[in-house]
Amino acid sequence: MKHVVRALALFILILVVFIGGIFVLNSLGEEIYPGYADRLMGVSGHYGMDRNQKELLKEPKYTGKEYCRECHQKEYELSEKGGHKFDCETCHGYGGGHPPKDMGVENTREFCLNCHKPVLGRSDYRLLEDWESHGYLDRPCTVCHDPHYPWFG
Amino acid sequence: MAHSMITRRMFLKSMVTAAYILALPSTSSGMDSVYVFVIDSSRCIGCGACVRACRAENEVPEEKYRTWVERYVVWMENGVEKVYVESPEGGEHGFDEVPRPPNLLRAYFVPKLCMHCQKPPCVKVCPVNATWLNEEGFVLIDKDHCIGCRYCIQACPYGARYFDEEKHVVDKCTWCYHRVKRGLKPACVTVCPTGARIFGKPDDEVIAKRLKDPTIKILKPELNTKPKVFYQQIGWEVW
Amino acid sequence: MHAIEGYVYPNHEVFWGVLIVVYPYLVSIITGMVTIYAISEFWRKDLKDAEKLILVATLPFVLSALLPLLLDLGQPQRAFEIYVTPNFSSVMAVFGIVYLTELFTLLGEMWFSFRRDIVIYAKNEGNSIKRLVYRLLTLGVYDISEKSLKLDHRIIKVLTFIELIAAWCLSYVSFLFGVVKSNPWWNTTILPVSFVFGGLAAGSALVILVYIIACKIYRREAREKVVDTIAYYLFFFLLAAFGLEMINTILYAYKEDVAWAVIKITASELVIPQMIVVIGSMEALLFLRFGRNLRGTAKQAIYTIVAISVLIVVFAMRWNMVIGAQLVDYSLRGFIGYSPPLFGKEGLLAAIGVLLAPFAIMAIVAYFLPPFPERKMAPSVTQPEKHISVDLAERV
Repeated sequence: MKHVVRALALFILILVVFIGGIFVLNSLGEEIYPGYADRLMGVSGHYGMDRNQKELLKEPKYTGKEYCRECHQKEYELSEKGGHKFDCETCHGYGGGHPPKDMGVENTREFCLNCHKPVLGRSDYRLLEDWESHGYLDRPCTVCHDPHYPWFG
Repeated sequence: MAHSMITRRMFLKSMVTAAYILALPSTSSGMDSVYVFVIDSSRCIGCGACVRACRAENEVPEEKYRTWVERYVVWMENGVEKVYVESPEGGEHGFDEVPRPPNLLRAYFVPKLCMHCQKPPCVKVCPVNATWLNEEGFVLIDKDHCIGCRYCIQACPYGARYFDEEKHVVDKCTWCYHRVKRGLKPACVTVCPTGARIFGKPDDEVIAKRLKDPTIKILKPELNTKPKVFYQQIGWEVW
Repeated sequence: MHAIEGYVYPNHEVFWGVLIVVYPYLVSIITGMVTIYAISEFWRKDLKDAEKLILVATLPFVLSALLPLLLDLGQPQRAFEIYVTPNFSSVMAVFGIVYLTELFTLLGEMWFSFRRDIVIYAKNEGNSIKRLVYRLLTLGVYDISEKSLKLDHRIIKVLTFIELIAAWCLSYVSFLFGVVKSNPWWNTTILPVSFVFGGLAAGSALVILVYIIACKIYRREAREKVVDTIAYYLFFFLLAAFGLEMINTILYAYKEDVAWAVIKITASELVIPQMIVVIGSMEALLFLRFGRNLRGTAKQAIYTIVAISVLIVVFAMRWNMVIGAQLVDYSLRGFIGYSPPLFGKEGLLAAIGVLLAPFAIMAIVAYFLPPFPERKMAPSVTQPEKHISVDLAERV
């Protein structure tokens, strides 16, 4: 009989230690676990913070068109007149860090054809049916078309 | 930025609440607080600007995609609609010409991303509560909690999740939660030149108008995941 | 990069490699062994001779069942999160609890059935370190009167019952796969059932194998009755597992619904494991049916072959279930190929290491708790009750 009591006591002890451990870890917070275990493994992280807030630590890179307007009023207004009134960052890349980040665009036919080549499945937003012969083949489209307002006049 | 400290107890409590929200019919989670994403496939030109913007904005590792663009080509053959689907490099560098099949019926591009389901199967299977559905309808991942078991990837029917080989945790599209909370649009919506992707609350004027389109569809409705990305102008072949 | 056929989502790959094949394999072996133990405990007294051996063999498998999981995790140091912040709607979190139940009932069972031996060793052992271990294991109680042993036996019965339930729940690790509704291969009702039967077959095969080998090592005669009885059960377990597996495949082939890819990869990427399942099962069933008529060494040889082939067959079944299902992309328009890497955390060598780990642990456990009572010890204790039960069993 005595051995059953002892075994039961040992089992309950293990159970209490286990569940107690869980509660202790829970109340100590993420800084201790998994934070401490992570640091031992060389993993960095943010602990003890609202989990939704954590996502906000990331800074946006794409700023939107209004940010560009502050300095490039002329291009902004020009593009608003025509079909290229979408966001500047579509062609220029993200504006976060500009200046001094270079906002140059790859000035090639291929770059424009990425949208204007009449490939299967593409709906007609000014598709260039004669793209193989249109204009000067050895020069970029921008010699004739202003990319911010590609129409003449 | 306010980093409100919360204890584990609060965290667990909020999970219990979230579990209740999940279990209750959708009427209990007020529709107005939740965001939706609407994609008009007829406007998509397959330029891949969204994929590139997403990669830059979220630092998505190479060969993994938070969003990608698929091309569907459907043609008729002996009274059967044949479907060809492709997504070269996730459409990141645009699409090139493919041979036009005879009897072509329709061809279009379909951008894909995380559906931020109202009944997310990925959240249900996460053993450690490292992914959750928040009040605004975003399904997010706590990368400092994820144990990297990849169970959620298996559970996601839309292939939206990927394993970050560098951080050894699962990652996916967040609908740019960090931008939306700052009043910006998601990166892919910002750069879309044709307005194929729009994002907002269901009662926003543009969204509401588009949602009235009778051709609107959700993907894999039979799985009862209640996705919140809505597609216009797509055929039966998209799932 | 692996071969891709048709269209697959760009993020698609085989996320769970060969280690997650090993994990359900080990778990199902545990189910089988525990079930055989329960059979011997509850109604086949002729298995008494192997009882302790089964316990000694089960513990290493339970202990090493965690290994493949830990190796597979991206952040293994956070594994305890499963207990700290569990999500009870997740099958994986619930398995953490089932696993602990299994482990503790097994430990209890072992302690109660080895208690008599432990007390004797604690009194007689010459090696001081070993004696200290035994003394600790006695928990300070040296009472091995007939009355206390009888009580032990009753407790073992209760523990076995709980353990059996836990082991079967553990084997429903297949739910882990079964609840994934997006995968046509996993999303079937047959899967959990065929999984349990496969586990029962593998577990009983392993018991036969370990019994025959252990008898060789301890230089004692393997009792034909024991091997025959387990083989008898093994036949039906294997028949059920094989039958259910085949029904599943035939249903896919016949229905030709959206899950067409399943049958297509069965015919291409999974030809080898599929052939192993079919041919191996047929062979094992035939040998089991006719091996019964043989005698002596021939019978042992046949049963050894059967046991090994059943273990391989069940491994191939697990491979089909875990890897096969992941080859199918959720777009259901294509599939990818998979061959495990040789090295690395998720490679073949790691998997082989994990598969061999239980046998290494088994040697350690058997060193401290020999599964067969040594002859020189017999005179020092009187064990009338045990003799009677064995005699009775042999007479039946």
